[in-house]
Amino acid sequence: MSAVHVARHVPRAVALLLLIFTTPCLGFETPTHRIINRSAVESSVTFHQLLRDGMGLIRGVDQALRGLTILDWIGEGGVAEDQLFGIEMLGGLTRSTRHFHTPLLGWEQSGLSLPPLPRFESSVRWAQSDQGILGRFAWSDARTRFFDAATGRTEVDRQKAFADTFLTIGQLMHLVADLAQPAHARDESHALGDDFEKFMADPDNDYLITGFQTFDPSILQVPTNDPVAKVPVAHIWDTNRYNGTNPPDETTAPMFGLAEISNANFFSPGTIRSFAHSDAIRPLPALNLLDLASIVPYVTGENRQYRGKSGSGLRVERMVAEGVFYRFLPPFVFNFALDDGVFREYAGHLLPRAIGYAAGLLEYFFRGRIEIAPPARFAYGLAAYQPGNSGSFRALRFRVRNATPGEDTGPGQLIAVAQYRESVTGANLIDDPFAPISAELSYAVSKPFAVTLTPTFQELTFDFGEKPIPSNVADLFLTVVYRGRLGLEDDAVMVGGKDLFEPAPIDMANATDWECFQGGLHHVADLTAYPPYGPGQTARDVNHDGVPDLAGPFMVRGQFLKTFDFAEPGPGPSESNFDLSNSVEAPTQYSRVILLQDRPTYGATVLSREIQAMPSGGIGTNALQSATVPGVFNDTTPGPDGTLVRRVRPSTVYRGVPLHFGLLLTTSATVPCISNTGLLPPSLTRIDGIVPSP
Amino acid sequence: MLLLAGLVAATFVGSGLDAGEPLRYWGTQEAPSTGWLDTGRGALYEVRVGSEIPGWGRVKEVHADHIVLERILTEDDKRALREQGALVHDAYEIHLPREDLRHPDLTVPHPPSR
Repeated sequence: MSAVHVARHVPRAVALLLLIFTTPCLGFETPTHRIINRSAVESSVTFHQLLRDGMGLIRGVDQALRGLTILDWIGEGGVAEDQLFGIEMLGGLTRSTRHFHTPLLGWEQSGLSLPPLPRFESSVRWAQSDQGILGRFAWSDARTRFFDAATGRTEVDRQKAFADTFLTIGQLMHLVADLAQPAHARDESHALGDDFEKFMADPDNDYLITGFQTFDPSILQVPTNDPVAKVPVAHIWDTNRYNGTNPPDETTAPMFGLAEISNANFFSPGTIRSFAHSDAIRPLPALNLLDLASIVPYVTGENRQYRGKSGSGLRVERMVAEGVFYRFLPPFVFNFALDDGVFREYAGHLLPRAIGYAAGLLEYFFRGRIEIAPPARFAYGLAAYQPGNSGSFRALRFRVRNATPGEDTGPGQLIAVAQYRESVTGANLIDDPFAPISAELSYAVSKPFAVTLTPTFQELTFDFGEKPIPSNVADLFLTVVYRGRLGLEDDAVMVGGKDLFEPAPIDMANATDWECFQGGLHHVADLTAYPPYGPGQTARDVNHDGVPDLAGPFMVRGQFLKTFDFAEPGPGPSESNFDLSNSVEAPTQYSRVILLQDRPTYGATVLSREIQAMPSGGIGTNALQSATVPGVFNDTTPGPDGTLVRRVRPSTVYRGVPLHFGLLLTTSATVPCISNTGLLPPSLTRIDGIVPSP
Repeated sequence: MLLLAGLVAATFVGSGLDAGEPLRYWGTQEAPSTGWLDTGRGALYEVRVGSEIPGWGRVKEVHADHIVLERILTEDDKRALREQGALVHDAYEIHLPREDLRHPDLTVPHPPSR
């Protein structure tokens, strides 16, 4: 190896040593990032609502996943982005060197420059690139994890994928927060540390990590035209609007990326420029544009002089502190500093934006919304009752639409997921609604199919044939997951959820074997005691007025039950439109359907084509009657102080049958006595009705 | 809603109910804050918010169409759930619909009595 050759490698070796023995560019220190991320999460009401109402994570950001809450995971993401294999030193050498973005450079060269090393990838691209052996915490990785979490088939898999999703999101938020550190937007490596970062890392200054200022959402509706940072979330970094002459000010700042605001308005310790436009990538601010002066007592007791700016971007009262010898030195001698007074002022502008822009990334990631509504037939699912409540729903039918404001979807894949708890002992939850239910959630995942969601509702049928949803479950929640194009983002993931009421049995019972007249109950099915009325047969003339008072029992032929939404009542029951049907129902018989629906109360109408009085043979036709049905729940909800409440709507027992809701066929004279009929013998017996195909 | 025929009204005195017994709600009477419960054994009990029903818990809300009871689980209850591998919760909130709403009547239309 020649001397020249060796000499050429010396600077690289020095740079490498510098990298090894320092942590050159961590950005805000990790405790600061943790607080920023947590503050961003806590400021986002929509995120909390999506977790709770769209994904069935009932405690929202406080939901525990693998020992930490969602809020914790995102906070820890703020820490992890500066680490590699959990080690901050390694992270400082690898990941943190990708935490820079200088907005006045093209994105292919806007990362950290540390000559003679090649320029590092900028954070705007790092967030969307293949990070290779340095980790997998880019936007696309978060997307994949979110999809895996939302469509996972076991609680263990889902919890892991959700935890990874939120950790990765936290790491992406870290990249945004670092842009509020001017050195990271002005290409200053600060190999020996940065005073602003140290200032913010002082726990006494944690109170400055507060406030909320964010961008105009319209900046995310513009294509990036970058081959790596394709998703418009990149505009949170840089909108490419700032050109060195139009610094973001109080009015225009929301239309700029955070790197542009930092670069154009604030100094970093090593980039204080005397004259505007003397530096191509840091044309502003500059000392010659500072037009405000103030004298503020410093912590040491001295009166320190500060200079600030009223224009050229944001108004900043304290841009720099004058050095002690400033007035005794000629103007070309540099004697300015960034002290705690300056940093406090910078923090007042930058930390609310770190929080607000990081929250903006979080909300953009979870912006997709799918709205779910009942199908035209009302019931999401219909299942024939099986002994022991062992039936299941093999398909669900409902309507979905893209409810994301201002963004259309393209072709994508749609999957429905039902989460629920099962009876631990195998007890029938209709008979024993207080039976213990599983601590772990179970999941049924539908077959995926291709669809383009539209802003208007489409009715779809989801096939759960591979793993049907059992009818004997509690705490049921329905989610739909879409993966495909959303707005300008390819391969986005969006979700929608619906807390369905629990599977509910509806019964149609023929209770005409007993009749009431004037307060007295008569077992009219006993034709020996109550023979058909006629000459010499007066048992049915209870008040002996010569007119029969008891007509039953009755046989029903052609019976159709249809449920409906009071808000959108559809066609009534018929041979072609029913949820449950019987060809014949004799006295003491009942039939049952289990249905899934989403309303606290809904309607049920029964059409009886023919009701025949068995003793006399007389026939009534086409009886149509409706009733209000209360929804059934057996679920969990957060209680006060972190407690968990199990909400149960218990069943009752009517003539030996545990039921939630039964439509009883009786005579009108029996209605006043109905409260006395619940314990009458014999017990009702179930017949199989006809339940339409899913 | 008055559906009390044949039942004996009494003030609930806090004994005689076991958790396993059915509990039925019959709605409010004159005073909207007062509801009526029965145990399926013929006795009717007048309850109001705060009434304790052994085995079922405390009356939390009284509505015309349903009543809400709250039962706080004891540590023994929770231990039993834990031992079964079941979900351990802190309380039950029991929403009991008015009994007559559970089984409305489909009356036979003009029954022929030939």
